[in-house]
Amino acid sequence: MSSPVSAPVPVTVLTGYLGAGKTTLLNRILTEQHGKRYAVIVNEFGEIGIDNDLVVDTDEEVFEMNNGCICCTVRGDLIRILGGLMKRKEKFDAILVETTGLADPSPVVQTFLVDDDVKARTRLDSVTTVIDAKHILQRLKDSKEAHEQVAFADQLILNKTDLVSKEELARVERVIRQINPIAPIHYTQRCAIELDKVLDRGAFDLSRALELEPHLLDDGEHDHEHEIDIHSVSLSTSQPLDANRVTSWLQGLLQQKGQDILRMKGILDIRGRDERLVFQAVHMVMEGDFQRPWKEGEKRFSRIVFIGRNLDEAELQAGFAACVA
Amino acid sequence: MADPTIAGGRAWTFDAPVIACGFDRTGIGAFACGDGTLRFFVDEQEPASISLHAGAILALAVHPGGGFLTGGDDGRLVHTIPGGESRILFEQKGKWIESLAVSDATGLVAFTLGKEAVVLDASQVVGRFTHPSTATGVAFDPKGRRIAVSHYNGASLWWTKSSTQTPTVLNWKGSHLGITWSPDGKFLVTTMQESALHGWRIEDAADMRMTGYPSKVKSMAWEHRGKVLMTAGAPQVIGWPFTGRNGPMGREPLEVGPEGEAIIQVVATHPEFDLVAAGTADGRVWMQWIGEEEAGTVARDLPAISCMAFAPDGSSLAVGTEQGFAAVLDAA
Repeated sequence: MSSPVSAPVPVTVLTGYLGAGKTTLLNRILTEQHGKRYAVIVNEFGEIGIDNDLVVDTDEEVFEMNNGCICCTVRGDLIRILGGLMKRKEKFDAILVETTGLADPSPVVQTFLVDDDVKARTRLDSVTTVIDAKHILQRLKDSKEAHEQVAFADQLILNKTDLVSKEELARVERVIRQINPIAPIHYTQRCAIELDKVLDRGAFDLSRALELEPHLLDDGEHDHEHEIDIHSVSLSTSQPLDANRVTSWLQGLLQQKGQDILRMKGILDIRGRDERLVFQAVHMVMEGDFQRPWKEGEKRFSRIVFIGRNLDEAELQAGFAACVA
Repeated sequence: MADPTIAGGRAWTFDAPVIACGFDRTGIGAFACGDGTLRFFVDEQEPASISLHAGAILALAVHPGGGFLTGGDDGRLVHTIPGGESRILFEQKGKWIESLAVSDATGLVAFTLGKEAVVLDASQVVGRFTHPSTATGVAFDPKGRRIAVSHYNGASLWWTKSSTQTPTVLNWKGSHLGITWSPDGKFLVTTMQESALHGWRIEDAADMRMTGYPSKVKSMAWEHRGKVLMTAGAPQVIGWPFTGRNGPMGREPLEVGPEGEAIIQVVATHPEFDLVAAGTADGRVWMQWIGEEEAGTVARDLPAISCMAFAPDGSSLAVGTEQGFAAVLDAA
């Protein structure tokens, strides 16, 4: 008789520097005739001009968890508001969270990894970063947050492509790929994009993890004009790994280098297991699980992509190689 | 899943989540729901429903002057007399009213509104107090002259009738989510984002850490003498002794109830007897006499319990759930 427990509501986090087009995208989502019910959580300093009951204003209140992990910061306001929205009779098809242009995305992402109530009722669908093609290179020169927003993205909306030449766009793409080689890029003008390409992507969902094919650049392609302090390292092997060794290596790594590792995603082939081990981490918080079995005839592999600062590729490579079973 | 079973009493299924429940002085019970309605029940009648808020009701309290107070995500504070009228006491669009407190001693009402705590008397706002971060909970001292407000990194104490003042701030790092003042006025206790409570002895701001919970503590209730704080957040009710000058410092808490698996979400204490009720995440409600071995299950196979309250005469226990199932169970 009791109604079934409802499925977790997908949450899309929209980041992007001031003026990139987040508000345009939000307005598009809210005004389009899609028959869906969205709640939007915007920051108090936003410029959203829509009078909609389902828009909730908030002040981004970040705090550090008392769990001995100095980089584990979460958004208390978000925990509160998501809890409150779930008390409503009407349920939402999705929730969108807009962050301020200057925000570091890690507290909002970690909120979905560490709070049990948030985890029980919602699921992080993706971190979607809107990028202004015209101004991103300048922003990357002067803003740490602009780097972080690109680094954290599960998908990138490269907007205002009409304001730059083909060559400029190619250059922007090269720079972005240096920071984040795995997020798919959508090219838009005035954020015109089909909503189903943005929402409900399952980008954060381990069970829908893709093959994790990084867009690797030839070394000659690197843009040396920009001081990119965030970069990525991709490791792979076709030999199976030892479960204990890889677990202790990753845990040790996150404990020591978690502050510098913004994101890490991986698919692993573990000796003696028929399922793929899929995991991801944000700073020191890691989650992972055995997912679908390797298919018959599928080429087994292990691949880890790190995005962060001060990553020592040789050291990571050595640590990874030592995990081969 | 099996159908909900109750040992004795009445049950209804509402078409909205039940957020809070309570009884006024005359014994009229009410369920506050996620569709903005308050549903009253008197004796054997079917509950009457009255629509008070545009969104969800987030907080319910018994008004010191009779009837109920509700706060909602529409920014309204509403006073409702069952069978009578309802009146908007305060409204500020764009803000949520998530926490309410009342003082029987002074008749004052306090609620949180963003970073503010607002105090009202029978006719008007008498104080608005601003904090550095969102005010998450509010409680009166036993004399009703001060409020304590929980927020990031601690709690602030304010005199209700003084317009210019610097609050007394009790510091403890972290996010404090709810607050209660001990009935003897000596201690303050907050629930935290971590699976822990924090307490302060007010006279010297001495800190008390109450840890060891497997889950966030979302409900606390003082037993009827006001000496033990009963708390949810574990498979058994955890009761912290607040006798003597040191309260629970250096003492083991009571563990009340059967050792189950499911985490207790809500606790309620009987107004006259040493009786505790607990509602679990897996939809069970049990009651136990403190100090006795056997707990009595009074309801099972309900949706997750969201709220509980004893009637003022202790004869019944109102129970609400996240899925709209609600009951008034025979107690004691």
